[in-house]
Amino acid sequence: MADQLYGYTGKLLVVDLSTGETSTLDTTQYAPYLGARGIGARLHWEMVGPDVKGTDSENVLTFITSPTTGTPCPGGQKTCVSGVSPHMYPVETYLKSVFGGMWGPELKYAGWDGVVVKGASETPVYLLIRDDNVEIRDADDLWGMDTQQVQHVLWDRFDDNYRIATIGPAGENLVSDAVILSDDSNCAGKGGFGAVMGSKKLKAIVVRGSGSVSIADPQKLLELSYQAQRLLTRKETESEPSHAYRGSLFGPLSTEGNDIWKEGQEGTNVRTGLAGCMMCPIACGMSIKFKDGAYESTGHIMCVECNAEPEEMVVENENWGRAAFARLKEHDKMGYSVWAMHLDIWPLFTYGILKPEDLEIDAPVGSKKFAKELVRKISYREGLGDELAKGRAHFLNEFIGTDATKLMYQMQAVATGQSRLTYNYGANFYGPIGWLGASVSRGRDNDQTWAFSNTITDPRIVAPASEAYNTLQQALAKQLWGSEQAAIDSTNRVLGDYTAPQAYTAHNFKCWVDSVGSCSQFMPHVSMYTDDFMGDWSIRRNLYSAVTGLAIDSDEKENEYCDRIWMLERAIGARQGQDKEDDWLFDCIFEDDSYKNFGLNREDLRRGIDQYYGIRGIDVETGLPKRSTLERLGLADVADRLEGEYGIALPA
Amino acid sequence: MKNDSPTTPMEGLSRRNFLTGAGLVAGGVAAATLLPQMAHADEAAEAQPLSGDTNGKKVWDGVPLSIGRVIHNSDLCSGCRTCEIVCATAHEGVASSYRSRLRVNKNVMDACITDISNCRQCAGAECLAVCPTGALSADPETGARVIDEEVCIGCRLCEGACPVSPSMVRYDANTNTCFKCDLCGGDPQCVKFCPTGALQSSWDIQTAEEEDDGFWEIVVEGDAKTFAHIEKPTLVLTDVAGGIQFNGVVWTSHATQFNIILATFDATAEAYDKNGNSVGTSDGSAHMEIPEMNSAEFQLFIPTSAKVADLGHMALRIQSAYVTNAPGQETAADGTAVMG
Repeated sequence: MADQLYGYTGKLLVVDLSTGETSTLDTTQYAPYLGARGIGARLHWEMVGPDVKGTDSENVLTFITSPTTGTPCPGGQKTCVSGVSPHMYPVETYLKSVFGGMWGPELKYAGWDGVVVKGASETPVYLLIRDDNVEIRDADDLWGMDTQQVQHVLWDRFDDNYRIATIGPAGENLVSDAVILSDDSNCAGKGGFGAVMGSKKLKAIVVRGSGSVSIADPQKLLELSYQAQRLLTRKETESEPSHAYRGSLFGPLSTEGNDIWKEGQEGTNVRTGLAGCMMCPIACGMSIKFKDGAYESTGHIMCVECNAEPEEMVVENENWGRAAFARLKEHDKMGYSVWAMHLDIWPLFTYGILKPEDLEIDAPVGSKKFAKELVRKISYREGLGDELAKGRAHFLNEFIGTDATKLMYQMQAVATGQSRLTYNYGANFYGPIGWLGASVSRGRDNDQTWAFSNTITDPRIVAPASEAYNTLQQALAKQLWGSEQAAIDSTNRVLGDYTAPQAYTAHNFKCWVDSVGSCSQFMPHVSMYTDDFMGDWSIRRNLYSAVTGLAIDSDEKENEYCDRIWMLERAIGARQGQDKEDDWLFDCIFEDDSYKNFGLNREDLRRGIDQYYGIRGIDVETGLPKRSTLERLGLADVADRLEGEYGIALPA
Repeated sequence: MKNDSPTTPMEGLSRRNFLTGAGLVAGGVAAATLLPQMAHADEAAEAQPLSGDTNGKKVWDGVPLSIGRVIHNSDLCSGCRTCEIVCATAHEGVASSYRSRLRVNKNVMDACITDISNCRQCAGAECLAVCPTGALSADPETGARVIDEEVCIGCRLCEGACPVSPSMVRYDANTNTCFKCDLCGGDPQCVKFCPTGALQSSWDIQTAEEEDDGFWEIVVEGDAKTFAHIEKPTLVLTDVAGGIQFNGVVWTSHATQFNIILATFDATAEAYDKNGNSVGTSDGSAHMEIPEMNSAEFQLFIPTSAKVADLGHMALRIQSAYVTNAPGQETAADGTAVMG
């Protein structure tokens, strides 16, 4: 590492809440892991044992940024939270979750690449970081507040340039789907890390920075940044707004015909606006201000929040209107995951497994009152809410006493939260890459495949099934895997020779995206503004190189970093007992017509997984990483520890 | 390590402005090639600057009005802060909000509604007026009020003189110099990088008694500090039943302290035929209040039997004024909460 550091600030803040001591770690020793997700995984490997539970004080919660965070690098501003997830069931495993907004950049300006929280406080505290000045302060008065209240109080105490990552009552009460929230609604939503903060009695991390982030080649960075922006979005003229990706991406908000959009267009009571994370050229979020004061404003509504519940549309007689927003705001305040509600809890009511009266809610499913009380009862663990707060898999298996896997699958629910079973979300939608990708993914980290598959099937770029679409797919396939056949197989749902390389690329893509703090919507390798819709595949890493001065200038070099991160996470899984058995889809999927008709079968999947193992350097017999692979990636110490400390015999 | 001492990798150029057009202009590149849109540059340089004594501050006569300025439309803004970080990177080579020449004020709890505080390149140029060393001057090409850091002694009088709050002149303790927006020599990077089009640059000034192409006569009267800025392409006349409808947009370009001071405009219009005879006057005046450096649309109706095609001349008269809230008042006149 050169004397002058670029991108990295060079310091990780380590806070031990048990002792009240703070110390620093040198970030440069973690540079082989890029940033965010990669560094988080390495810190977890070093600091946490395999038997630690999510809410144990021994769990270490990390908030890691990337070298690009805070610099003018579009897509590179996210912060990765990782640790043992209390959400995972039955074994609580390592997981990560990212959040955007402005917290990460502020931390960089304060001079820190990340915050590592160890131990647990006995009384509520919050962490105040002002440049080098770090304080653990008493949070007795803040404990119990919702996420919006606590931020307003802290802003009054300091000023509103302070960025705050906080938890609400759900996190305080160790609800397994509690989120960590910053600003209005930027959340680390996966994994229930809000409960981990709650278990450490850490109400908030408050950050303000007056420093700066050095850039190796600012001129180059600005040029690349502008190029990337031009691939993603364009202002037609100086006076016209950009027209790409306006508003929430997948949700109903950006489409005409929903009630809130109409209100914004027609009346004077609702103002709809754009909302984006730092440096984002896309602005996937939408903001709503109720000028009539009937509801609180909602600042950054993103795609995953835009799931209208069918009952809501019936009971409240609206198509994504005010009731939906009242529900979202309640989630934000309580710090309870919208996604968990949509996927895990709400279907229990839709499918009649639970009724409102079971939770003593005197309102029909879909009403504003129902939604609000349900979120509150889970967040405060009132009555049956106490059981639901442990997560759906736990609830079904242990409270109801049913086979959660089968039942959940029948409910077309897509989240399992089971660490020993793979996560199958989107498996069919994305065809063979999805089947294989989901098989070898771990836990709930579904988007490993999702993110990449989405980038090459994005209907916003070009209409699916059109000639241009097929041409684009094949051009990308040719570029990435050396043959158009890869795209043809995907289209025809054939799990062929190219599926394993495709899944490998997809997983490494996600490793890269998460580790440079990027967003899965940042995909300048395709563009709606070029004649052939092709963008620039290498611009992502060129941006990284312009910031850090570290040359990552080929697919091989990039894969070396991503392989290292991916394999380290594999090793973390291995010491928790994950092996080949975990690399498989739910058995019931193979009996499902919708999958069978698309050509999914056990033989092809087995062959694909074995091929994938070959590419990765994983042993086909056991599903464990080979020692030679770990050594090639500079993880010899990991191999030694797996064998020496954990008694896992690694194949050569 | 707190990177508090940024170093520029581009030696030989001034640390400031090393990536911006300002450096290029200083280096002798013909400004005309950089600024094709500055059709009014010569006119503006010759225009009579506003003068007078305002709020007890001495305003330096003879400073040319700024031709350019950066304007912001919060309805389009996503609050991404690209402008802020790009500004610091382009000028200083490091990413930092503290080293940006503009500030993004994003109200995350109120629907992410975002205002930008940036230099208005004031007509009065109070920063320039108080500078004891002549470090501040109007850029001969753009009219931007710029600081020559070689001459600046870091007395910070300009910082205090800035009528915008917080001051749009910032101070760098490391170099003991002040820095402010220089319009990047004519290619404002904040505008270039703004992904939504919320930030725009404007090079087209219209001010007191300026007559342009013989059709429009635009007269702005009132508070000398108010600098009305009218986009000619938006001045639209339409034939409607019973007369002519007049739609326009007016901007403020001078300091309006973040939601505390309002610029107000009252516009009236009069239409003349090709012989110079008045054929109609607007039936009232359009009143606009603009709570920040922003725009307001107005509409006037001129009852007349004449058609647009018959007109030879239009006069638009705008009376401008500032409304200052009483000290300590928490809300602006439009009811918006005051931030910061």
